Amino acid sequence: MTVKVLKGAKSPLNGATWGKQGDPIWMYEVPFTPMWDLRVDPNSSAFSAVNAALGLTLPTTVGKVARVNASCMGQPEYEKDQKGIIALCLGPDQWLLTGTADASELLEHVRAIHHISLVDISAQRTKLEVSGPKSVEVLEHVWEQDLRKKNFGIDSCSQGIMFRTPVIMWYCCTDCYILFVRSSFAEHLWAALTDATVEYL
Amino acid sequence: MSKVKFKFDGKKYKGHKGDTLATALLRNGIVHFTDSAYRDRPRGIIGLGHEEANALVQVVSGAGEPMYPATVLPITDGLVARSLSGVGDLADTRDKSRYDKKYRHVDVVVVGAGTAGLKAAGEQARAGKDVVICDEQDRPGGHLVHLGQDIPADLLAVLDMPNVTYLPRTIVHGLYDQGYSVASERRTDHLDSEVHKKKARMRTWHFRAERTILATGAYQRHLVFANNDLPGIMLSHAAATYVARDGVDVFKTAVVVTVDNQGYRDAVRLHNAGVEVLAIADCRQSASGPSVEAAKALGITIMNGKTAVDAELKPKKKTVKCVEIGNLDGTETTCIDTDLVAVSGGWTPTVHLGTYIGVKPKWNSLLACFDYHDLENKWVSAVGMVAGDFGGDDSPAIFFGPQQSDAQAPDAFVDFQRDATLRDVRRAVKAGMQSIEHVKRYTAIGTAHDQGKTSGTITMGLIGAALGKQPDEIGSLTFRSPFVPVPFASLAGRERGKLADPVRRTPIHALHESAGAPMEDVGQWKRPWFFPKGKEDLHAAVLRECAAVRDGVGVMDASTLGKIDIQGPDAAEFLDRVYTNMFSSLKVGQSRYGFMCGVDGMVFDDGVTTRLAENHFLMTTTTGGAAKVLDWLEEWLYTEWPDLKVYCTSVTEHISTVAIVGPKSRNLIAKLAPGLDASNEAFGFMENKYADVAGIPARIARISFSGELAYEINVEAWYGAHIWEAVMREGKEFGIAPYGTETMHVLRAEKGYVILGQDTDGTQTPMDVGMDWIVSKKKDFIGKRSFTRSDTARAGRHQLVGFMPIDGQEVIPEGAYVVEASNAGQKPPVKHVGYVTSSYMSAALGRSFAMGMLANGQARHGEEVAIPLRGKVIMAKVTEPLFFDKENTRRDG
Repeated sequence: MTVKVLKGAKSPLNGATWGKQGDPIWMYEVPFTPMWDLRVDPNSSAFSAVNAALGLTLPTTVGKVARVNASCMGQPEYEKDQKGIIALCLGPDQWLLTGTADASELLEHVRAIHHISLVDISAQRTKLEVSGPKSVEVLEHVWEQDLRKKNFGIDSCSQGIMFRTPVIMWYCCTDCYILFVRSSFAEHLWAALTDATVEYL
Repeated sequence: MSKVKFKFDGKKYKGHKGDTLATALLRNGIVHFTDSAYRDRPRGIIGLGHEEANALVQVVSGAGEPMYPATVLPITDGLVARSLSGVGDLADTRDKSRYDKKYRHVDVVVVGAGTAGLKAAGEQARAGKDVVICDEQDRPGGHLVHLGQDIPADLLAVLDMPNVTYLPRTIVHGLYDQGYSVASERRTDHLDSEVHKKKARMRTWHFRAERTILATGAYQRHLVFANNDLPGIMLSHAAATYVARDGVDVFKTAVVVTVDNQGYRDAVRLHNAGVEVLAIADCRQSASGPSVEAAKALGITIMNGKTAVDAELKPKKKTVKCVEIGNLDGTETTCIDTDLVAVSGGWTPTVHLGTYIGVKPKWNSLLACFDYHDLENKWVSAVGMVAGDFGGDDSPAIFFGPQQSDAQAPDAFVDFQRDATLRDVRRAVKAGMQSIEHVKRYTAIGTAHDQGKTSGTITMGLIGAALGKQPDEIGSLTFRSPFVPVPFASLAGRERGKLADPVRRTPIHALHESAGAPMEDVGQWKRPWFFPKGKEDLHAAVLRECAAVRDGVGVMDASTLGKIDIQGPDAAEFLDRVYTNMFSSLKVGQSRYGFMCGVDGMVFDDGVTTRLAENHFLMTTTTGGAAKVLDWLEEWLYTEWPDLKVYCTSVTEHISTVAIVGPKSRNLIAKLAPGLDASNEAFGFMENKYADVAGIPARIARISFSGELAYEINVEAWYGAHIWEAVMREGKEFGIAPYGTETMHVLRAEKGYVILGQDTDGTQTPMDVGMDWIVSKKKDFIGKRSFTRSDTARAGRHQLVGFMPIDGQEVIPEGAYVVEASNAGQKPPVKHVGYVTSSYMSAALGRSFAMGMLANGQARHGEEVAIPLRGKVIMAKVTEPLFFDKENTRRDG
């Protein structure tokens, strides 16, 4: 973790877990995940400077995810990855950056020259991981959007309302979905998600 | 088949598990089921499924059900039901069953698992499509289930295909634009009569499909003749199914009345099951086809050109005694005594779902029905009977009933549940109505639970007959979702009780809860309202909290304020345009309070904005305004000023804010942040400093919403609770008091600070609330032009003032109207000249005070006004809206 977590830090769900690996469905909070909101005009010279600094090409199609040195969240190899960057394209000029690398450090010199906006929003949302063979079955209870692999394959992302709560969803690897939920809504969403698992656990 | 015990209308019965209540009651000899809603006429079961117009029950056991057809209710051990005559009761206890929802995107939804549906599903699945098949019955086969026949193996195999999902007991009750359909799956009612809290009793499916295939089949309809509603007069397909498939042996004799060959097939089934079929009365002069030949071969009497004209009741048993068979014009009738009159009035394809999205069914004169033959539509297709493919030799006549006299018409029923008759239709036509839409509303036909599943086409036929027209010249069938009544609980799913609406919590929420603070709803946020000590009520707690802040130090959780990060080379220019006051002149490290107006010049939001760096600002908004303000800013950037280089990012929940407020707050901040020089010289009002607070990097802002010396500690939200705990711990020696929204409101009101949305309602300019000073004369900004509108610029507008009750112990209720003192004693109507927006008892003033709007108020300071209330009048003096520390001596400590 490059975001320093100091003594006294508390995540919205206190690192809650539900079910365990190997269950039909298991979920947990990944507390203190670094996140940045990146705004840059994809048709500007700033854009290529950002790509060069991050070491990846930011996807310009809304709903696509690009990553470097970040094979998969939640998997053991991910933890070993260094300087991982994951970029979720949320809008024509907006990305959510997360990962083990310090984006603010990587983009410091770009910010000095170009008009971009990089805002640390690590505590704005918390990260939930929903995994297991029944993950789609559970998410279908709370998410109106298309979860079919042909339309929402690995490294797709989408913003929407999940159980009346603003959520960014990223399908990161087989049967594993990442949800970024606004911190103030986290308890409500967690209650709805755990409730949705009752027929599967 | 296992036996189950159930209760109906207080009596105990036995039945076979898997049977419907209708089957079980008929087996037990119940032919007279209930009495009709409006005319108390004896009624029996007439149908086989959701078309049932008579046999409604209320389920009392388990989760209960206020109104449900006995023909589709599975019996289970312990079931308790009672018959209804039209009206059910909602249970007065809470339904504790679980209901849930699912959203599924799929290539194809097939509605109906009959032969046609399974065939269509197989074709789609073999073409690689993902298919969901919804079927209302508990097993596949549709019509074949009624006939008790096996499904061909190739069709049954469709259900096992990996890309096919089959949902039995699932009825699609809504179809909407863009391939959106909604279905209800009943998942426990067939298992037992328990309340299921874990397995959802009902599941509402929301499908989005590229194509919806209607394989919904058809319902049989009856014929309209006098006393056609007597128990023992049934739809022939239903009667034959109960007898032949289910072994109901309550009928010894039957007369079949038909307009098509379906009646012959049912006559054969009845005969083969041991019922003596006395005659088939066929309105057609001749009939042919295998169905007819089969009946003839059994020696059943066939009466061509004849139909039922009237019927008679067995008074004691309240079932049919005999049916009068005669010519179609009602003449030459003969009475035949019979237990059962099986009526085949033709098939009505179930076109409902298509009509929901405006797909008009077409009249098919060969089949005497409206159907979806040759349907071409991007979203919907039709197969099987609903597409006009009856697959048999039906050749029905277009016939809805014999000629009836004016004496017979009042007892010739069209819509059984509504007790609507041929007389009602005749009256409607006589009154000049020709459209089905008008006649429906006049007669109430089709407005009951069944929405006229059996009576719709008949009504069109009868109007046509009265006007000498064909049914398709009358109009088309139009239905509305839901196809069957749906419990509200199933639509709500899990979104009830605690899950009904999100509760937004600050990072400090749990600490407020354990401190025993009652919460106030601020939008979806929960904010501590006050922090009672011991048995204190709101009033006592607020007086104590206010005094603590004015004399010592208090602490408040201000984390809910909206926060927007604004950066870019044009950020200062942008803020100058959206705020009424100037921000480009603000120095780095300083904060300024700002007003935002809508294009109408009315106050829209307010808050403090801080310049973090030359091109970098942090805006705060009202708690409720955060999302709306961000949308507003983005809208202007995208639509009007795309040339401005500015980006906005919400950081509302990234930052937690703890405000320490009161004369002793400087001592406390010095203790919490040893690295900070908190002296007034080093850290002035509206300045920001960075320092570690309790070991956490923080931005500290000297902002006050109470007039007192105050520091707002801003940290990453992960540390909000940690900071609060540190403040409480270190503040102990200063007698720190946590306070909630109520005290905050009193403190700010004592200083005359407005709360947008409480003191304003979107119709006030900054000038109306006495904030002329915040409106820049030097620059343009959103709303400025509207200030010169004649009504906005006129003198005498409602303006913010103070109201000091003459009796300082009287607290005026917020929302009270203000009238002229001279009108104090007058009875209503009295012209009001203003209203009270904020009103409190003040510890600092030792008396009550209020703020509000008053016409021409700024010119009326010192005058007296009256606030008339029920039973009394409060007199108050008009003052400037500033009550405490008018010289601002306290904000620097």
